Amino acid sequence: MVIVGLIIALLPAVICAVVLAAIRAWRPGCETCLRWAVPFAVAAGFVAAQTMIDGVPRVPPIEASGWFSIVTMVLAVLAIAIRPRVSSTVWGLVCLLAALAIVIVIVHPLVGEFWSWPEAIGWVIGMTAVAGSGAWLVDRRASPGPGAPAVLLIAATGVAVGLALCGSARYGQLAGAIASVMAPLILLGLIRRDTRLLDGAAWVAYLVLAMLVVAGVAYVDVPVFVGLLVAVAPLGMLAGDVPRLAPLAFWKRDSVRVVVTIAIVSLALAVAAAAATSSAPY
Amino acid sequence: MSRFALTALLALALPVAARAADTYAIDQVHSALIFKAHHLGAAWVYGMFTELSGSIAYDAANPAASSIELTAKTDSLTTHNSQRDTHLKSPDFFNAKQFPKITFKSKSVTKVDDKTLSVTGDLTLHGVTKAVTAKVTHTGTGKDPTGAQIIGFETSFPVKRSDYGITYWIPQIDDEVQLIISLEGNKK
Repeated sequence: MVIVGLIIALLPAVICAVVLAAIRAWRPGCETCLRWAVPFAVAAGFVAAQTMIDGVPRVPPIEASGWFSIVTMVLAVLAIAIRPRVSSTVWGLVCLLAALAIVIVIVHPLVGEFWSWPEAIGWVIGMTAVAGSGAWLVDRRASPGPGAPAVLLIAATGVAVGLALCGSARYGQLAGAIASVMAPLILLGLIRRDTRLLDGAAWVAYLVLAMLVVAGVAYVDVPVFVGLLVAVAPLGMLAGDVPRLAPLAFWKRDSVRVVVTIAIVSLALAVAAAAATSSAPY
Repeated sequence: MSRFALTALLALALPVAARAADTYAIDQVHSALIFKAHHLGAAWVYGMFTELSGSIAYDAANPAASSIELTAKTDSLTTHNSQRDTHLKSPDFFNAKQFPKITFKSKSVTKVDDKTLSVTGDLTLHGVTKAVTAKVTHTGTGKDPTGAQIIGFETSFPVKRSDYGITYWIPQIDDEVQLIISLEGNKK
């Protein structure tokens, strides 16, 4: 059981490391390769982890979580094939539409049974607004070097622990896959400090995390406040962009990003722990 | 149609009506849908669904005319541990929000012996419907304090939870789960 858990935790990191090694990502001039390789690695790591946890996905999916891998693959294709070809305005629209599609796919089984139509519309608008604007901001502001992957690793860890605390170890493990895939990218960022490693990939990772948070709020009773906090936690990477920090060394700005993200995640987890029914083993 | 023909038709129909199965409403207070799952290769852990509804149609003389419809509310699951109940209701297992009901609807009933029926029907669990066949024991009949007729049945059969898309923590929690259904019906 422990060994299987370890394999699931490490597999996304191994996949990402293999992809980065295959394109020799540490060499200068591989920026074009990174734009497809990293979104691919994020998606491949997540899909591999979900396949290990849930088995081969059924088509069409039985439950909401059956869409996770399918949506992740579509996001990676959009990030690789569409993002480089469209203006930032069009891409902003894609962010909103992708968030809307994710929210609808995840929550539609609840409409009529648990949520009335007005409630459902309210939830869809609110969740889409948060996820869409978050995805757009993270995509635009993903910093060069190790800062952005470090922020996403912390945020994903926060989502994982929050989901597990609120009742779904499985969703927690899936969020852990995003944390795992970021680890090799942090190491690469230490070598390639001036390269934006997460071009497109930050968008994929953020929306996968947002999808898990939406599913957590809808199906696992994750408190809305906790969901909101972990959804905005990746925006901690913006903290290093404050103009007054511009003269500082990269590691100082990245430290600010990490500290702000940890603060948001810690607050979310404190609330989640307080809301948890019990921490006693069973 | 002539009066003779109408009378003859009614005369033919009457015995059929007299043989119609008695119908009973499932009494959830005296009924149970219990499951037991093998935990880490060691003990059987038991849980139950407390909110049941449905009906039983039973014809002792003509078992083929019998039928059963049973619905359990997934959210009524209890294992006497609130944290475990929350986890079992989560998407890791039963996903009570997306799949709020577990249902069984019989399709055919055949007599095995005086006390036993073989019931085949559709079990819908976790959004997946599969045919199951179970030996059902007629445990007795009686009268409640108001004098109304009551009837009892019980069955037990295994299901593979992976067949219904509940795959988390296999084999730590065994794939095969035993269902035990005990029903009491109040005659309508």
